[in-house]
Amino acid sequence: MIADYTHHYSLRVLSAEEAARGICEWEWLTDDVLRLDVAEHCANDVSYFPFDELVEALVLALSRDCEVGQLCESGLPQVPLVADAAGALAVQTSELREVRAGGQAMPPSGVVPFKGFSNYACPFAFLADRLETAYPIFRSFYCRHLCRLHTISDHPETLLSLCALFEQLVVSTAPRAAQHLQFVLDSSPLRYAFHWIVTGFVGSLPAEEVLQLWDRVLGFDSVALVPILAAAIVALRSKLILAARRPEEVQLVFSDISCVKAIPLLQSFLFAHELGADANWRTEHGSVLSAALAAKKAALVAPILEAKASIGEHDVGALSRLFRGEGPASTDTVEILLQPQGDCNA
Amino acid sequence: MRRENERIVYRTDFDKYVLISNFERLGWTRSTDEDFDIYWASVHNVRGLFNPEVLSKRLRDGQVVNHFPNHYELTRKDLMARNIKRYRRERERQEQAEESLSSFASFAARKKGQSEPNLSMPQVDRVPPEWVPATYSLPNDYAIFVEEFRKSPNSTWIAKPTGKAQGRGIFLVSKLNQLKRWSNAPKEKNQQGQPLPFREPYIISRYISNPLLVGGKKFDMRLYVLVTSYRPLKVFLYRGGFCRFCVEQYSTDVAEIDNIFVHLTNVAIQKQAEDYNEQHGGKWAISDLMLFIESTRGRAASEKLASDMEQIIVHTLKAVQGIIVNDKHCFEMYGFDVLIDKDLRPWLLEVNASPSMTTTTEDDRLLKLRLINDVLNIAIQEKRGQLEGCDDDLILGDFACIFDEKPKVNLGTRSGEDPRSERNERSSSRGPRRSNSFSRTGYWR
Repeated sequence: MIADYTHHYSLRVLSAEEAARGICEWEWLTDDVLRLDVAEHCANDVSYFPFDELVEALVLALSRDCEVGQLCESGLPQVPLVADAAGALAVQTSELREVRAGGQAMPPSGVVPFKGFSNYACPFAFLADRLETAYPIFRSFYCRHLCRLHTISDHPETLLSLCALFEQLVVSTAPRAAQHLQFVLDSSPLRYAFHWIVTGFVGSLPAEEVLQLWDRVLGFDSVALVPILAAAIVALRSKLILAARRPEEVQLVFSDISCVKAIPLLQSFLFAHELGADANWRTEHGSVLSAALAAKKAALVAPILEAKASIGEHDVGALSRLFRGEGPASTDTVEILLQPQGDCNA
Repeated sequence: MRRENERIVYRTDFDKYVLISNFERLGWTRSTDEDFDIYWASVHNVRGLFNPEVLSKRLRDGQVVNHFPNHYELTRKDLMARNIKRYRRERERQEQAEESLSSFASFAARKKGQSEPNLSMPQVDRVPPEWVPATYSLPNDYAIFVEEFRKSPNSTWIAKPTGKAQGRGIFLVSKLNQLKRWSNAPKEKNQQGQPLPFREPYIISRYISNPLLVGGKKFDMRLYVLVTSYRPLKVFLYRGGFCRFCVEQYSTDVAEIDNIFVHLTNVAIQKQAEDYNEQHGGKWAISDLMLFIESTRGRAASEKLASDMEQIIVHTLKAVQGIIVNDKHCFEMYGFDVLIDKDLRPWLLEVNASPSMTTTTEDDRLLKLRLINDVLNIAIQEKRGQLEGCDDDLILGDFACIFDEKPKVNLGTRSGEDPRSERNERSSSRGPRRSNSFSRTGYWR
């Protein structure tokens, strides 16, 4: 697995190689948890099963990577598990770097795996067939975007604010469906879409759709596209939701989205009024999305999109390539777009 | 597809769910004798059906059966290899002749100061490079095989019985003495329990030891190909083909040469492996394979592979086009087994006349149900001549017509036109209707 690896990366990637090597040398408590997770999800998935060994290597390497905790822009996803000098496990509320002095985080990355965690690595197995190529991409994308999908904090664009964005969008574009779920079925749209948001649609959408979606996340530099797509799907199926009388029927509406085309749906959901008469986004009222409604939706989404106004020259070229739909981003594009902007949280 | 008040009668030799379910859904009635409209037969019964000595069993007009009388020219491993070899030789000779004619014509034209005529063959019709690994029959070609074996000392060969399926009796050979497995095998017995005078016929082919690996595992592809007529040739390719994975990581280690779970991709074999997974059954969609190739090697590579696969399918059928009895009652759904090597070159391993209708997973069941549905749709309408120039997706379902030799209706030419340019035009329009059905930008969704 550790083949000759000549690299021109900066020092930060050195730990990637060490992390990969570390798989063979040390066993961590969380290793078995991750292996089980891979066996339950990736190895059973009709699209990802050939890659189970690579996915396992990716998540194990990530868990041994000490720098992940610092690289995560929104902070650690959860309170880290720490073993003190005597080896006993203790939970501390301090930041990871303070912990270092006294004890060892478990696992070294500070990210405690949860059920379905290995899903994050699955789509990357399509992009490269070797650990050395796939791991840097996976690590960078995880630290910049994916970690937010399961981070519970008050940082912007972490899970809580993403869910809030989802709910607001559903209420404004499919209010009757939302009400129907709330009052008639004693449920909420979030209950069904939560899984999509946390996994970034891995396992729900086909691999190619996930990669296209994550491309746009890369291009917009915002993981908010995930709840936005989730809201778009709810709005798309609002009629079916309204027709559902029992929880099982609602479950059916949400259970199979394998035929959804993520990008056309996103584009028409976000830009319908700009695309003009040809791209009518019909709300459940059957009328064309009114300018007012569009403005309301734009107001929700705009702060996120506008914050990324400062994009460099590289990014423009890469963005336009992405939006012309030229397949998943190549490794080069990904490297360029993932250069850290400014200092890491160090 | 059902006309009003039409009762279609079917007969089948297989009680498989995917078949019966389709027949019943269409409201057809079952028969067990000569009174049928469509017969999904076993290859054994088809032999009797086309036996010239039994006139009573002749097929009436309008009856349709799912095999061609001498399909074995394609579906028996030794005959297939032989027919393709012959076809390639003939085509290469023809192409060489055309090239020298073309270069002479250019030379002559240049001498006269005229523009060079365009007599080159359209690229699509060129015979592709070798797509069947070198194959020898045992015992007939034993001596030639030994000579070839000695020329390439580090090569591996794979021995398969001509008459068996599902991977039975297959073994790898890296040293000549390993062939003793075949030569010393107990002789086959006939029905009375007496040993037959001949050893079981085998073929031995060069083993492709550098297959394309995904996740470190070897796989091959099962492609469904529907042929409704050989002359003119009309071919449909199903886009729901799938890859069949080995459970174990691939290894060229000599110690693993007898490990069938590493080398043989037959589902019947992999099912017995300890780590066999019933959720996906080792079956991977070809669209996922194309995504993987596009992501790791670029779109051009995946499109070229898709095009190469279509080429070898069409040329394989062309190889037997002249010898298959083109009975108008017949259509056939083949299972093509194709292996891709590390250089993205497709190799044809074999063609199955009766691809398995057993299903191993939920997805597999859905796929085969839809496959049979589409096959029945197309076959019946083709035989009734209802599909003239038809491109309707609704009828073709998940099939794409990748080759149609039937000349299109010509609406007449303008007088005074250069006959040579007209010939060129016609030859290019007579050419196969190209539709890259594996291409992800096209049909493969």
